[in-house]
Amino acid sequence: MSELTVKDLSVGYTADSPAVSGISMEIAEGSVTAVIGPNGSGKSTLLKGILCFPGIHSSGLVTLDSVDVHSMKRTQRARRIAYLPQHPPVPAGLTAIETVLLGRFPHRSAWSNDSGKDIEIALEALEMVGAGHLSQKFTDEMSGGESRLVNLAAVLSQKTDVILLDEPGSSLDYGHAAQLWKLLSDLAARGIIILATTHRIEMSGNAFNKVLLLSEGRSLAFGEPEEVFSSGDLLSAVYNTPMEVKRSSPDGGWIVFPGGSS
Amino acid sequence: MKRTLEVLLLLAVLGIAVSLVTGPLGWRAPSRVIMYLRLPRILLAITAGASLAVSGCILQAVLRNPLATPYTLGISAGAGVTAGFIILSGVTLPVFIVYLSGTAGALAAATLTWFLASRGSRDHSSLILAGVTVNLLGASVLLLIEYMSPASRLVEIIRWMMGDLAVAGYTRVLFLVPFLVAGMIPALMKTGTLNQFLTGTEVAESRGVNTVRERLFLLITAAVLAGGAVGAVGPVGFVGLIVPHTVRRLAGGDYRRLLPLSALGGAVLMIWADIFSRVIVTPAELPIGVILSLLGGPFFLYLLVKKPTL
Repeated sequence: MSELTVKDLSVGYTADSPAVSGISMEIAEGSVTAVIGPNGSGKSTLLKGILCFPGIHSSGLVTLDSVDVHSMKRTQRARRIAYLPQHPPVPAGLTAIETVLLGRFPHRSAWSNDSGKDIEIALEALEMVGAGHLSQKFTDEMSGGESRLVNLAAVLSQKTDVILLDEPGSSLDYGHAAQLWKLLSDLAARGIIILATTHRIEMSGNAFNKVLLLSEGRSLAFGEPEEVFSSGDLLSAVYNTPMEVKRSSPDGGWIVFPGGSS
Repeated sequence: MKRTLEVLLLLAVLGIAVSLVTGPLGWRAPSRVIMYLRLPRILLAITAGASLAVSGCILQAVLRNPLATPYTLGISAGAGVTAGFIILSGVTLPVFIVYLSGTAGALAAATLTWFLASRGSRDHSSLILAGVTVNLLGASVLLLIEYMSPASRLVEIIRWMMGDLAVAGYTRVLFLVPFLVAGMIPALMKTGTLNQFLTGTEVAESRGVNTVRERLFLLITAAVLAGGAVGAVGPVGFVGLIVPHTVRRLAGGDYRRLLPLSALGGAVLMIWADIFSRVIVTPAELPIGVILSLLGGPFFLYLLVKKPTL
C-alpha cells in the first residue's frame, strides 16, 4: 500500500526565506487531496518542493513508501511521481498523441522510438480524459482547455503511483472539469495518490477526500473535507471574506458561498 | 516526414550536380578542378550547413526560444575577435591553427556565456541574456580591432566575417569533420531529451531529465558544432534559424525527425546558397554570408508575420 509522507517540509526560491514552511501530512493510497488557499498561499510551491526542482530550496522530509523522494534517482522518481504545472509550455508541431507519448519518457531510453505498448497507453490516456478525438490534432492549434486535457493525458501515460496537479481544472468548461475530477476520483480508487491544488472547490464535486488548507505558506488545516470546512470562521479569515462551504446534499458535491450562505 | 526527406534528398542531389558543373568551363572543366576545387567546396557546404542547422535546432529547444541561433551564445563574436586579432597581428600561421583559433574563440565565448549565466539560475532566460552580453562585448572589441587595423587588414577582417567556402583541397573539410562527428552523434542520441525540453524545465525534470546537466551537455554539443563550422567557413548566419523553422513546418516538431532532417536541410541550404554566390555576379563570387543574409532578413520578416513557433 503506497503512502506519501511529508514531514516538516519548508520550500522556497531562496535558501533563507521559505515560501512554504512546516508542512506535514500523510496521504494514503486511494486518496484525492485538494490543496486550497488564497493566491500566494504556497500551493504551487508546495508541489514543486515535493519534487525539489532545480532552483527550489527545500528542507524536511518527503517519503514515498518510506523511500526519501529527494534522494531518488530522477528516472526512478519519474516512474513513481508525475507532475503537471498550471501553465506548461505548448510544444509546437506536435500532435496530441505525440505530446502524450512524451509522458512515456521515463519508461524508455532517451533515443528509442515509441513501442506499440507506449502508443496503446497514450491512446488509452487520451480516451480517459475524453480527448481521444484530438489525437491527430496539433497541440499549438488547440484551445486552452483541449491543451489541458492533452497534458493531463501525458501525465496519466507516465503510469505513476502519485500524481501532483497544479490547478488541473483551470481552462476547462463545467463538463470537462466534472469529468476530470471524476477521473481523478476513479484513479484514486485504483490506488493512485492524487494531490491537486485548486481554487474551485465547487467544480470538483465530491471527488476529494482530504483537504490541505494553506495560508501564507503555512498549513492551517489538514483532514477530511467535513472537518476542514466545518469552521466557517477559519475559511473566512483565510480568504478575508465571509465564507461557507457546504455539501449540496448529504452525499453531494461541495458548494462555496463567498460572502456567506445567508 | 517521408515526403520532406525525399524533397530534401532530391534538392541535395540536384544541388551537388549543379554545383559540380558551376564555374568557369562548366562541366568541361578539368577533372583536377572538380576534384580539388568544386568537390571539397560541396563537402564543406554540406558539413558546415549540417553543423550550423543542428546547432540552431538544439539551441531553440534548450533555450526555449524560437529565434535562438548558434550566435545567441556569443559564438560569432568570439570567433570574430580571435580572427580579428590574428589578422591584425599579421602573423602567418598554419591554416589548421587559423581555423582552430576561430573555433577556440567561439567555444571560449560560449563558455563565458555559461559562466555569466551562472550568476542567475542558468535557465533559458539567463543564458540568452548572457549570450547577448557576450555578443555585445565581442562586437565592441571587434570594432576596436577594426579601428586599429590598417585598411588592407580591415578589408580582410570584414571579408572573413562574411564567410567563405572557396577552398583548394580538403584541409578545411578534414578540419570540420571531427567537430561534426563529435557534435552530431550526441545530438542524435539526445533527441528524446530535446523533446522533453519543449515541455518546460519543470515537466522535463518531473519526467526524469536532469535539466541542468543536460542543458550544459547540449549547449556544449551546439557550441562544438557551430564553433567548428565558424572556424572552417567564418561566421555565416541564418542557417541555424531558417532550416529548423522550415523543417519544423514541413515535418513537425518531434526532434527525432526534426534534428536529422535539419542536418540535411542545412546541407541543402548551404549547397544552393553557394551555387547562387557563384553565379549572381559571375565570374566573380559573392561571399556566402551575403547570400544567407539576403535570405535571412526576409525570413525574419516571415517569422514576424507568421508568429514563430517552437
